[in-house]
Amino acid sequence: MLTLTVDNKDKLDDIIITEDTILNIKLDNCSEEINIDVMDNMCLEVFEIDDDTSNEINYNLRSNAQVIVNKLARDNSDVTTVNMSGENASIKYYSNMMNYRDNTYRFVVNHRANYTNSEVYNHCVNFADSEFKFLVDSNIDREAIECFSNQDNEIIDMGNGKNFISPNLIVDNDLINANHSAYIGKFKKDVIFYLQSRGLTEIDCDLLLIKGFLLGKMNLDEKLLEEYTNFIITNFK
Amino acid sequence: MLKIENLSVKIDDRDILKNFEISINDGEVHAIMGPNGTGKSTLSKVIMGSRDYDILSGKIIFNDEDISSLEVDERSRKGIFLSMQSPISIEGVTNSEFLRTALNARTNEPIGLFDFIKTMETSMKELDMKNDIVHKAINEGSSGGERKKNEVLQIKVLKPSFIILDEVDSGLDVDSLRVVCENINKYREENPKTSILIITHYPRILEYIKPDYVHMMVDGKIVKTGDYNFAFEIDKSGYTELVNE
Ligand SMILES: Nc1ncnc2c1ncn2[C@@H]1O[C@H](COP(=O)(O)OP(=O)(O)OP(=O)(O)O)[C@@H](O)[C@H]1O
Ligand SMILES: [Mg+2]
Repeated sequence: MLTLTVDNKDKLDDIIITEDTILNIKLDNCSEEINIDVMDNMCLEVFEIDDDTSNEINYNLRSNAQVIVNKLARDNSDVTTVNMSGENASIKYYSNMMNYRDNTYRFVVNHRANYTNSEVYNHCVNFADSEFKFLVDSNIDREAIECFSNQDNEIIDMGNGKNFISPNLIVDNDLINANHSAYIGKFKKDVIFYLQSRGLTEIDCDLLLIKGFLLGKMNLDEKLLEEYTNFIITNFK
Repeated sequence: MLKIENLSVKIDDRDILKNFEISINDGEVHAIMGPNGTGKSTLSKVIMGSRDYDILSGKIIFNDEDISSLEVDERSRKGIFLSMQSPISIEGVTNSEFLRTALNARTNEPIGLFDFIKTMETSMKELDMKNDIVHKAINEGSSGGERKKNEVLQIKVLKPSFIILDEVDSGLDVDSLRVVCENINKYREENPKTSILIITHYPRILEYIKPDYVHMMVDGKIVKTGDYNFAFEIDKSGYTELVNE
């Protein structure tokens, strides 16, 4: 397994995945274009931590490519496009945001080939009174049969933010299985009551629930879990 | 330990508790039995400090202090524990992280990971629980009975001095009920000042954890109090007959 690291200290070249790879991405305060091309039959796992970025990130998945992206970010206005261009390609994309300023996160997945599979989880905690938007499109071409596409979009509002989700499924044929869901709201009152009834302070509760909400779906080993958790704690105000 | 005076509570313009009174001394076990919808769970949540209800009047005094204005977490750290009738599941928050945070919130010295895991393992073994729940999200994928055991596990770890058991017996199979009650009795032996309020529909749990008083609650207040045997009388006659007496 090859391990690559990308940050914005140097000029970013296109990344071509020709063997099974772990890709660590750490970007801050930048607005770059990043192209990642995953060749036939390759597995790619991405661990991405971004701070204050508005990047354009493009993935191209060829036949049988398998990709998992574990992304955690603060104040993110990236535009991510995933092209599923080869048959049987599959992607699981976890985007987890902590939001303080006005931001729009745009995600597009294009199913261009048969039997392609995408699962997209977009979670954001909006801490401030700012505006946050998830614009999420799943497009399935007429020629692409038996595809699976799922998107789950959730925003937890901790302040008094203006939050907006636009989940779109644009489907050109019937032979597919597609779902989407959107939730905007606070943490549930009975959940907070349960945790506080065991003595957790309001801050303890918020932090536990935020960590669970942002990291709960991803599969992180102990070391990564610590790194991701530290990022949340550092940016939790 | 706990004294409730003249407590009236409503929700959505409906009166639920009506001048409710009770007094529980250190080390005592009280049981409350009463028909569905009479306000037993409401009472337990109001003692815990839930803000879902409007408190119209009354005082809740815990160890000589009026706790009516305290937040839920402050009441918990003072030693009150509510084992809930229907414990919810919480996605993304593991039992171990939750309980460690809860323990650390009530002590000045944070508990070490090793000591914590040992405490958990011993307690889970005594409760005949599966070990793997430590790293699972709270009650996620757990059955009704498993959730009740998890409530009792939390008692053993957090060590409260006043425990409300809201229908802890419902959902437990016969063996589990025995194990749970044995654990609670052992806890009482080790902490003899602990007081317990048992809310139940069936006298069976009271055969294991013998109450000093049994109260019959109807329409938001206690209408009759007796000793241990009163529970069997209620079980035999039913509420309607006893109210009409
Ligand atoms: N959050 C709530 N919102 C609206 N009504 C409520 C709420 N909680 C309780 N009630 C109402 O208050 C009344 C008392 O409910 P409570 O749960 O306290 O009864 P109970 O005595 O515990 O009943 P059971 O034996 O069935 O558990 C019921 O009529 C119930 O519908
Ligand atoms: Mg009840």
